[in-house]
Amino acid sequence: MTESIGSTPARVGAWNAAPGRQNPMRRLMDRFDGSVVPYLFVLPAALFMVGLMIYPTIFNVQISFQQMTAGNLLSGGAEWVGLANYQAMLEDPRFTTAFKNSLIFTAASMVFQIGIGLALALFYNQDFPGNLIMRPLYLVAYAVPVIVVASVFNWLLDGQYGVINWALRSLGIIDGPIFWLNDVNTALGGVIFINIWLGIPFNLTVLLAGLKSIPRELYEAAEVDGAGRFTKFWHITLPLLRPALLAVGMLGIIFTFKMFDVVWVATKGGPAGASDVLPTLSFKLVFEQFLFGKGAAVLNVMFLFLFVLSLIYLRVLNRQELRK
Amino acid sequence: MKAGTPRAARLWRAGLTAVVSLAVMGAAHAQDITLTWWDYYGWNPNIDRETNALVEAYEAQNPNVTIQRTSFGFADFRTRLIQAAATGTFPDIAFVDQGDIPVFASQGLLQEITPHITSWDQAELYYPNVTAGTVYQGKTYGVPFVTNSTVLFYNVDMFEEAGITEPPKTWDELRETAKQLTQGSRSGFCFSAVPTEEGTFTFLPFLWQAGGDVATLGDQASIDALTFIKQLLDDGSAPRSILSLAQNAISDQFVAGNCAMMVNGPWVLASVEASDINWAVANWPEGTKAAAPLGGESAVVGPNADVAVAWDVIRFISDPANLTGVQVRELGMLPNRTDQADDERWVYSDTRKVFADQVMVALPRSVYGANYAQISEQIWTMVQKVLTGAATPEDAAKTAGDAIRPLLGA
Repeated sequence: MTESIGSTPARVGAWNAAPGRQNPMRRLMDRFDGSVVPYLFVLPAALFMVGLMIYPTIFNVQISFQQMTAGNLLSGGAEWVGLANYQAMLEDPRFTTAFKNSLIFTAASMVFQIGIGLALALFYNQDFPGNLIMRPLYLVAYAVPVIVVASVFNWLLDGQYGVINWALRSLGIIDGPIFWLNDVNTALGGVIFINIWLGIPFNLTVLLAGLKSIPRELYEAAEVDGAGRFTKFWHITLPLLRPALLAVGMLGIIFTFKMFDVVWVATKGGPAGASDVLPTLSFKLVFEQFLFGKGAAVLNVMFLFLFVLSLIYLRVLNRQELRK
Repeated sequence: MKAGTPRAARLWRAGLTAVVSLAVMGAAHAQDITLTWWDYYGWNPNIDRETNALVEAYEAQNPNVTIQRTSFGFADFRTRLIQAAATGTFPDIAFVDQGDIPVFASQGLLQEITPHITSWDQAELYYPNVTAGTVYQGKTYGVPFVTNSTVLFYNVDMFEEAGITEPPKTWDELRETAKQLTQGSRSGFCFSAVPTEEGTFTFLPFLWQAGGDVATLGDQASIDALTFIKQLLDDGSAPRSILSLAQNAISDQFVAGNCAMMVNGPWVLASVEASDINWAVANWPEGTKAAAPLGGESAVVGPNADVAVAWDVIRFISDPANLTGVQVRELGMLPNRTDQADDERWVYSDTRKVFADQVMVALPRSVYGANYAQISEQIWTMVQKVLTGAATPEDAAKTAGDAIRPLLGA
């Protein structure tokens, strides 16, 4: 047994075996000691996720196979009906309309939010007086609560007294009043319009940050090679902006697909379900008609859709990381 | 010490006295009972104050009872009740909308009060159309507390300006008058057609007046009713925005001078009276018969409540002897019993008389059963489809009727 110089006499015990001795207990402690601490850090978040996200999701899936009412929600005893709720849902024209509307709502919102956001970001990437003052104003707009925005747009888009109609008529673009949020043909468009306004500041901020991270030298080098503005945009800006565009795109799709308050406050999904999206439909089923099983079925469809999208996003992100 | 000695006996007696007095004190405290009371009467400080006064009046007479009152917004109320049901915290006394008793009773959330009603001497004073809504499958679940209905409000100045002397009494007169009064940005007649219960509440009188009913949607009467409201819109007498204006918002338009007539309830009287409009009320114009919607709230007993105590509270607040004139006025209560019909606290003005008369022909929505929430959704969707031109009255009525018929009678 060797002893290092100056070491204090160790107490007799398995844990305090002298260094160099291959003590099995020590080996176990070493392995354990190394890897338990990270798990402890993750534990609170894991408990939170299991309790508040995973359990409700599983419960929701369970409800969708049952005939549940407020009375038997607590006391149990809800009968199992198999796929009846899903069948009823697929046969319900309200569901097909809401699903179609959700897709249109999400796609149109994303295209315009990113398009206008990118255009504004390119604009604000330049140097001009007033640049630094105007940029934060967009964030102020972003800070306004969604309910307030939807209510104000409700008045702006009003057929008789709305400012937007007045402006369009003064410019001669339309002849008579258009009842944006009260007409089955334009209600969805009206809601999309409000949502685009809501989303632009976020896209602007993220894309501007992405633009700022592109090194100036690349543009200068391209100019030396004789590249025009469009070439610079297509071959330098867009490829290097891909991570930011990807983040904004995927997160935006997920967030927009489950948006409830804009549609609810503006039209409540009306008139006659013309602007109904899946979140508002499921809200009505659960909280107005107490059809918990059917509402759960609709919510599960939403969840599945978003889950698949998230997986795609993570996969693309991972590939990007690997490439780096 | 040994048992049986004088000292031991004294200690025993002292101990026994202590235990007995603790038990008595405990028993006295056990009679202290707390009830939870939920309503949506808090949206206006005056109504809130008067409701609290009523609660305190009961507590003063019954010191061992404490009532914890919570007030919610009208839009939220049903959702809150369902959440409470799901978490086992359904209130002991709740003031639910007239049409909702079958909905909640069928879910096992209400305790019946039939034996208390049968032995209550004041029960027979209630108007039959008002109490019809409190019975579900032969059992009584609530007592109508606030009863109201809607009437026709009209702008007297606009009438005089157009040379109209009398408010319209028939559908034809309503259509004509509305057309005459529509000029510029002012609409002749406004009514709510929102995609919520308020939309159904506003349409049902038209259906009933045409001689139709929910069970027979798709028949000529229903088509007539839908065609009539569509004509009002097409004439320009009613603005397109009624599709998203709830009853309070319609009242705002009336008060702003943008509507010459509207159908609305006593809950808007405060803001109409406070405005500078010269207004008056009249009974609903009649179609083939007179009809109006029965609104208001009934007091019901939740699943966790001590029924005897809850019944005592309900009995107290329903007795006119315990209500002040201010309370009746602020809560917008209209006579729902024969002993209120001539009571000055209930009928203190010509306006109230019009409302009181309207209640006599008001019809309840709760007769449509426990699936009323889904039935209502079909009805407002049908109205919106017709008003937006998305479907003809015939098709919309048939679709709604086919969807509703299997839901009835639950």
